[in-house]
Amino acid sequence: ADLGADVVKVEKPGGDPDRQIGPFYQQTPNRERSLFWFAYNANKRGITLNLDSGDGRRILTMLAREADFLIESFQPGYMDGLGLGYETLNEINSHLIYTSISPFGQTGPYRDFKGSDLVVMAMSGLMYMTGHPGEAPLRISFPQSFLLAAAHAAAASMIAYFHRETTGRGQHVDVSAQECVLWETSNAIPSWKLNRTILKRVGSYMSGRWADIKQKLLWKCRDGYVVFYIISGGFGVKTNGGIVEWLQEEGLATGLLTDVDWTTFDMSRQTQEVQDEMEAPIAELFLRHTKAELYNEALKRKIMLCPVSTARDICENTQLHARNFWAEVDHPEIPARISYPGPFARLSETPLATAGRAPLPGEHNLEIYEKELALSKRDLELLHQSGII
Amino acid sequence: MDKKVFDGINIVDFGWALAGPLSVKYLADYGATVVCIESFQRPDLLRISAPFKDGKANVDRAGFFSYFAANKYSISLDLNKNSAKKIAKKLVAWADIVADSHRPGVLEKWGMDYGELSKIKPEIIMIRSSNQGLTGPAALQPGLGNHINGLGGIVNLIGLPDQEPISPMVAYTDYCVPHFAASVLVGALDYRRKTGKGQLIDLSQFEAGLHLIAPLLLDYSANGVEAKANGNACEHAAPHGVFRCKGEDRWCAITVFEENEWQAMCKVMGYPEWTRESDFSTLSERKKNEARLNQLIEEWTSLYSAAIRNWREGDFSGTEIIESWDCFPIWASRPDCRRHPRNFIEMPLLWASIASIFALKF
Repeated sequence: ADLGADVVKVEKPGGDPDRQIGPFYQQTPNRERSLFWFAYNANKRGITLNLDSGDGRRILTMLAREADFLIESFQPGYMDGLGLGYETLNEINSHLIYTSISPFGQTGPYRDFKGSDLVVMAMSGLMYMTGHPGEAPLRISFPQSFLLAAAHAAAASMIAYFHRETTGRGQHVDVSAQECVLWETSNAIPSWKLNRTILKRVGSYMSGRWADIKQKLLWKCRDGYVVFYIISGGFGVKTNGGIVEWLQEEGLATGLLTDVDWTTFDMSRQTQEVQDEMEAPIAELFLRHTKAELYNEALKRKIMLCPVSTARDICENTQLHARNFWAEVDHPEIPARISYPGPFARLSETPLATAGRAPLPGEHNLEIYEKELALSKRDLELLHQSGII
Repeated sequence: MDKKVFDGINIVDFGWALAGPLSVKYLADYGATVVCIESFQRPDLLRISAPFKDGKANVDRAGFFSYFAANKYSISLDLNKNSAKKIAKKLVAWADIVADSHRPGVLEKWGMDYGELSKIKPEIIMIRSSNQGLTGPAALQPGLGNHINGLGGIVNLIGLPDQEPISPMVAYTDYCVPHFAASVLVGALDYRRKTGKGQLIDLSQFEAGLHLIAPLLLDYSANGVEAKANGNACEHAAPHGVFRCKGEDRWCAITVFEENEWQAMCKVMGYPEWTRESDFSTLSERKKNEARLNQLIEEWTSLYSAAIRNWREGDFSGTEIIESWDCFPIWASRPDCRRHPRNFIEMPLLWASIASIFALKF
């Protein structure tokens, strides 16, 4: 929808279950106040439709006949069971790109498994690498797997669209969330394939990248945490040098640090002992300052350091405001005006749409059913009373 | 499919590390000809990162690079030299897309920014992926994806409640924002095909990554609430977590949302006495007594090894269990990836079997 497509969200009469997902506006649980729903359904039109009824399925078929894309995330086989599977819809619209998103894909032994976010994150291998050694693996506290799958699905659907514009043929796109999250595991799979090494949890350190030693990633400061690490290779020269200079100014530099020639410094030859010795004065420097002070100084000195932001830090971030990132979106029904993240990319010729409020349940029923599908008022009355729309 | 979608699309990739190169790898996987511009003076970050074949560090033995740069060609050019710039400009004239992920300012220094390149080829599509975008006061700060983990709010969302957060080892946005990039790149190609016009795409990893936590940002802007890490818990499910299993560092994930799922799980556990306590009879009771619930479940899971087949065939009955509740092992980095049939660029010192990961099937 952000690229300009006319997206129609099809919900069950009464509203999609996603409307039950919090957080909610003013913490009031209500299907018209889900901020989760708002964030991921902006710029869409919305209709209600009961696919369990024959009339509902007939109407969806009418929509699919004219559509370019159909995106669904039901359990594999569900749409087939309704007579709305790819094969059927392809027969009535061979241009249709039919994208199916599921936890483990449309085929294979896990196809029918339920997959919640935690399960998919666990099955992707990412969690095994995240957390403290010996302790339980951790996920990101805000569910990610189906959002990652959505990003992959969008890219794949666009590729299928490009193909269709070349050949005239639509196709079925099968997106497995597990496979999408697998991308996030960085060098874990090559490490296993090449050397039979399993990357394990090491806490907030980098390990197994340049060296088997642990390189500190997360540092405590006066009011929170920052991310910084000593970097090997050409691009480490400035940032490491910058830190040493700063340590010198604060009287914290040690001979060990000032004597290093960063142009030839090679992390793969580093021992844990020397690494710890290098990191000790840096830890002390960071403890003296707040994360805002550290970040401002890092920007000035071109040091690779970022604060561990909270939602508030992000909403107040100067860079985002300077780039006019936030979009103010009106919700007249609440009434409220809410700040949304802006476009995910800046395109000079075809800018992405700024967020328009997500649809209310059935908001565009009349517009779509009556005007676009030419159903009569009597039909609509009947469909409404029988719980189909 | 013999013919690929992007056969005939040419891409010059000035990028390095992950965010930029991955954005066009996607197109390479589907047929585009992608030429990386590398330099011996400054080898790509992934070429000097582990794992190396047989543990011997060498730019041609780097598994990380071959994994994520599969399906591309590479030439080396030192763009600080004028003759190299001439060659690069010839490549730009040949290209449909130019990708870059250097810190803003580097391409300007080389005379390779969009303004210059569009003089060579007005219809060029250029994508510049950077940590914080091409403009604004923080644009020039150098950094890697790990830094964006912090800035973009991911680190703050990992960890146990009221404990120090955990910084993941992986650079989170590096592996997902390229898919945002692929969407707009394909859109730009389609637009160019219809109008003949190219464009510049300015992609900030920081900004794009915020879409993965968007509802939490709305929660702050609308309610003033700041989301915090809560381990593996979920507000509306219990049990919901990972539990130790038999063996060294083996774990399984269990999530129970609905009453029938809880009943199925009790059945699988063989209805131990504690499942009949009123403390665990409803979701709200289980949430209230979650710590003890988790402990009891772990006592049970630690008797078993975390393999899916065990849940399905061995100790428990039937597949209906799998269908009604979720219990899966946490995998170590064993690959479960599909091989892509396309030819890979030869990396003679490496295994031929290093494959690209594939998330999509057409």
